[in-house]
Amino acid sequence: MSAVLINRRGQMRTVEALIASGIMAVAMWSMISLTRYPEPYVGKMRKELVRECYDYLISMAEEEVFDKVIFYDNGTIRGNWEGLMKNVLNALLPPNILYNMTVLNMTQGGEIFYREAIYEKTLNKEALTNASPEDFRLAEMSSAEITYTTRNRWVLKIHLDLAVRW
Amino acid sequence: MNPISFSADEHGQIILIMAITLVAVILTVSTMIYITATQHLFFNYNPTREIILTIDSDFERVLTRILANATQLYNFTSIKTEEGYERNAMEVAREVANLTFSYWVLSTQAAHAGKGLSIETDFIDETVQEQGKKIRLKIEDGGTIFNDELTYQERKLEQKLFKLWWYRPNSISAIGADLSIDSTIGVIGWKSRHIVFLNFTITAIRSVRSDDAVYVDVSVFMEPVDHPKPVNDLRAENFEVYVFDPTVTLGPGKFWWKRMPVDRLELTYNGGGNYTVKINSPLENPGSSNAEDFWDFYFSFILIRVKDNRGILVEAYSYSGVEYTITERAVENYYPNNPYKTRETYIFELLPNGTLSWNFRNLETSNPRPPVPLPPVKQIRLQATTNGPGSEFREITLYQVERWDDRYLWPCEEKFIEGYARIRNGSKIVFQLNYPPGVREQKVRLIWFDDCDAEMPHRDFRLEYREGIQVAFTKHYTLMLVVDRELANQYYHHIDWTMSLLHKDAPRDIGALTTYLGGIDYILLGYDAYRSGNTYFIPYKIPEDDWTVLPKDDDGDGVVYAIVRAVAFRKTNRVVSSMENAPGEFRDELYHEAMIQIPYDASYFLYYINASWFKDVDIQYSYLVFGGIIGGRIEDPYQQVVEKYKWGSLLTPNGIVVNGTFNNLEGYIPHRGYVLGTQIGDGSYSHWFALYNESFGAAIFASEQMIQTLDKYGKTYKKGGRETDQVFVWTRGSGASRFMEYDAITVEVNTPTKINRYQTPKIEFKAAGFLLEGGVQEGDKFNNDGMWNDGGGDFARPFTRVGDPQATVSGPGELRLEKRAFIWDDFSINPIGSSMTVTSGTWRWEQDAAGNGYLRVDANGPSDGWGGMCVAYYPSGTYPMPSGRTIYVLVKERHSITANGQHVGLLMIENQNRFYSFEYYHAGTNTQRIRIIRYFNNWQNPSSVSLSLSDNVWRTFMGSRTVNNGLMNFRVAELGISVSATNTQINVGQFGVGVRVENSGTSMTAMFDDFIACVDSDPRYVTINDVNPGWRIEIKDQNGNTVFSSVATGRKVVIDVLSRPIIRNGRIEVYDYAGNLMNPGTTDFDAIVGGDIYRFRSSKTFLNAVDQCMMYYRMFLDSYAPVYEIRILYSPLS
Repeated sequence: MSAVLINRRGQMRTVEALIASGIMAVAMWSMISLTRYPEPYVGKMRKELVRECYDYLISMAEEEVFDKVIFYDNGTIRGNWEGLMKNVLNALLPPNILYNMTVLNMTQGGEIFYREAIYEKTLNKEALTNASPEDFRLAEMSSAEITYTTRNRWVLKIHLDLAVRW
Repeated sequence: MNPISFSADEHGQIILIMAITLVAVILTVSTMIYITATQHLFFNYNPTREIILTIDSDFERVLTRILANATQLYNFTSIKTEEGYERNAMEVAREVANLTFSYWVLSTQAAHAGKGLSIETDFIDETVQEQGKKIRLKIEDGGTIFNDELTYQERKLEQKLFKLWWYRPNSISAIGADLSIDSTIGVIGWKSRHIVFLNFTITAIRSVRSDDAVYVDVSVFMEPVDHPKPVNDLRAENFEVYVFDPTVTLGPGKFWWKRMPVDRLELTYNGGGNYTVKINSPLENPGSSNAEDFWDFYFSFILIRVKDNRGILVEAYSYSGVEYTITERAVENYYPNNPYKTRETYIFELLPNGTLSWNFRNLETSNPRPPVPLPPVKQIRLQATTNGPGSEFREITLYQVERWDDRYLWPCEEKFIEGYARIRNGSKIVFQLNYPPGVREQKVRLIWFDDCDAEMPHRDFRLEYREGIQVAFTKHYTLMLVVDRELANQYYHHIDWTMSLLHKDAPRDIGALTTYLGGIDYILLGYDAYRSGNTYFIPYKIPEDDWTVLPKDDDGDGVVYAIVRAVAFRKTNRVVSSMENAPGEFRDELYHEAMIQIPYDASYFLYYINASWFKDVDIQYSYLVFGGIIGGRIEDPYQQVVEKYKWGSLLTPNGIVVNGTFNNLEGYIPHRGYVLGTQIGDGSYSHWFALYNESFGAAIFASEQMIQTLDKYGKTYKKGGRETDQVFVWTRGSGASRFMEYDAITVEVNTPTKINRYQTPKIEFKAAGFLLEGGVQEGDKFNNDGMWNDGGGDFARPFTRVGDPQATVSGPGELRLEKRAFIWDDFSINPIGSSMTVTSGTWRWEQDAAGNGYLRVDANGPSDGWGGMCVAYYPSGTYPMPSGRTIYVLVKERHSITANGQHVGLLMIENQNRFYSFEYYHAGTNTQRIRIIRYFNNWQNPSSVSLSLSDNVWRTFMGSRTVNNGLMNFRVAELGISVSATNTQINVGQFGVGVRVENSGTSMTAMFDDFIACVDSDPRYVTINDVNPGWRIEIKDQNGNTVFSSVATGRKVVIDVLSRPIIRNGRIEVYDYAGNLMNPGTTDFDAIVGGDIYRFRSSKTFLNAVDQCMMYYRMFLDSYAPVYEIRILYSPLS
């Protein structure tokens, strides 16, 4: 009877040890999982994307891309400049980056004279983007805005959304 | 079950519990690490820094855009508004710049709305280039022509957003502003200053004829100011280079200044912002005789306009000005240091090729002439020495840039006076230069401002057109020009004259002008005569057509303004008949061109005519007049009024001046010359004749050309061996008009003359009309009909000498006082026992609350002497009465009368037993009067007028007495009520005041102030003589407060000073029409007292008509024309 009892205790300890080991293993796995740094791109993406947005816009402004793409030399708006701008953005941005640019004219009609109020009017007649709105909803997205004064003294507001394609 | 045994089994559970505990710790720690590591992902990134940087970046961009746009707009020089009038392009550029700038601020704020940004901007006064900046310029043509450092003035932004300093070897376009941004969620106090500029310098010019090229070294820099960054991306297309090519033949689209095509430019970048521009084959006609001049001289005049790749323009010239030393040869040699030489004023014209001209003639110089560059005319400035070449330079304000045709023959009707356009082919810079006494040479500097905010001078020369008459209101005279004879005749009858010279004080209203008698009329070319009854009328045919007067009246209101001169011209074949009952015109006889130049600030006008006969013309009654002057019009009723021009003088060929008096009767008398078959006196002539009265006159100064042309006609169309040219002087019957005229062919009866167009092909000459201040016959008349025919009487005779005119005044001068008051006392100090002697009564000196003193007397009953009067008087020993016709005494009086029989008044005294009392007498309740009463040992013969004067009110008593006849007048000035009397018994010599109380036991009190005794001038007034109508006179107290002010309507101003007849330490200021103080050195007077008479004496003293003509006529002769020398100014500060 006693021997039977002794054997039962040994088995229970074994079971306990196994359970304890299992709990420890789960705990260790959880710890490793939790203390591992988040996926680098996801972790940095917001800030970096914002900065990259500004970097792209600033470099485009410094190179007078908006003047060169949107206007002819005589200051009139180029026909289908939107396609040209998309080409520029496609060339400029990495392939896995989704973009959506909006160009707003703060200078209605092109002449700044005799203006009483300032309001924005979208200058691009078609979307300057390489993705659908659905793509942007699923992705981590950042955006930036700058003002850009053109050679013919229009003040443009350029809005750029960037997102990473997974 | 055994509980103890059970406890022995708990060891295995402990392991489990410890494992669970350890797991819990591990999970907690790892969760914390995870949360900590990913915490930032739960917040949005705040990009304030990037936003501010982009705004800052766009701020610099908008400044660049504004500057580019502003420089390009300004380069248009003028911009036409929607209404069609020209605006200064700089104004427009500045408006657009400011608007763009404001709009950018608003747009940027709107674009970043919701980000909590506050954006502010400020204009700045930053120095773009420091004072005294030195930059070297080198000009070489194999040898060194110029090699020196040019010094530049400080260039600052002046809180103006942008500034342009162009047209210098170193030229800059600059813009700058401050930007400050505050963010509510990020950066606070962001500030940045942005200055964008383009700095362009011409550093060297070399001509290398063997290369057929000119090399120009330039340097180009951009911001920042402290460490300029070289501009290294320019190409030849960025440069516009202009050279002055003297080989160009002028014509449409052809001008000496020419822009070099880009394919003739070679650009080499030498690093560090330095370029060399090689101008290949700069000459249009390299084989021309002028080519040598280019390689030696003109190559150094280079204009370069650069547009950098930002779109910013800048324009630089290789030189900064030209200095002309102009020497007169007409007056100073003959009248050295003559203080009366005040009118030697020339109107010079300067052409873009550097030619200087005067009186339709190019002046001579031994130097090559630097060209005038091509800045907008508003940048042009002229400076001249004031008193000889060593004296200070001052800006010439009277200049204008005119537009003429390509060959400079005729002025352009449109935009005759240019404001904003560039100097170009056809431009003339017209300026005025005066030579004061003792000065033969003056220096004139033509410069062009580098500050592009420069403005045009104001136009003050008013021209007005009404009903066919153009009136020019110059500074010295008014000139009426019959522009449209037919139209003018509907309103204003006239026959033969074209211009009328009037005194500048003539009415300014045109309606009044046309009936003004004071003008001297000028007749121009005319020929032939006609006879009606027994009267011959000359001329019959008048070359005539409408004048075009410039500047043109664009807005149609009849009024237009010029600066230094107006120009009238006509070109026509029209000749009209002066026959009123047979009007008509002849188009096939004579083609004539004429021009009149009317300066604003000179005493003359210039006239030029060029007429050619179409055919051989038959003149039925021989007569051809080249020009003349008429005093008195045909429609004037004859009367010998002051406006009539009484005297004439002329220069004869032997240099003798003949003076004569015109007839004083209404009737025709020839005084000099041949007429209708009779030689009356001498008809010889020379370069001038003059017609004048006491204060006004006019002359014609004939040029050598005119004299030669007269002579040629006179010789060609001789009649019976007699040459037909002469000066004809005569009085016309109608209105007793006085004529002096240059005749080429004398008037003949029934003797035609056929003009031979080949023998006398042209009538081309110039002449001047000259304003005179007049003169009077001073020497004795004598009888010499050969010199001046008297017509049988003894009035119209020659005389020996002309006296000074009763001249009008002009220019600053001095105010001279003629004191008429010999006693004046405002009782500011106690007079009792000092200036005044008092008798009985209680006399006291008191002051009111303001500290103003007055004299008080309290009288109780009659006094012992003086007829019972209590008297205070100024003794004759101290105040002797000067001689004069009328004595005036004025005093302010205030009384308190308590009973009947009381008197108060002023006294004119011989002694205490003999005096006149000018008094107020209170006889009874219903009996009060003012009266003049004599005390001659007793009271006698009062003359009185009833008048009641209430107590305790200040009144002004004024008595006067005419010495010779004893006529006396006493008035209470404020009421205008007076009483008169006549008596000569008393010899008045002392003056005072007094009160009399007839009845003992009664008393009265009186007070006196402002006592004045004067001779021959009413003490209620101060008079200022010899001013001009429209001048303003201000009398001020010692604190500078204006007490009295009046505007002259004639030559004299009388100011009523009754309210304050004595002003101690006062000022009198005389201002002319324009508000200039005319008596700067003589404004202050110890006391301005009623009765004072002041006389304004102009510092300018005018010569009589003859002396003036002699002094100035050579100015209008080619042989005495000025000559000039030239120096190039590379730096205006050099």
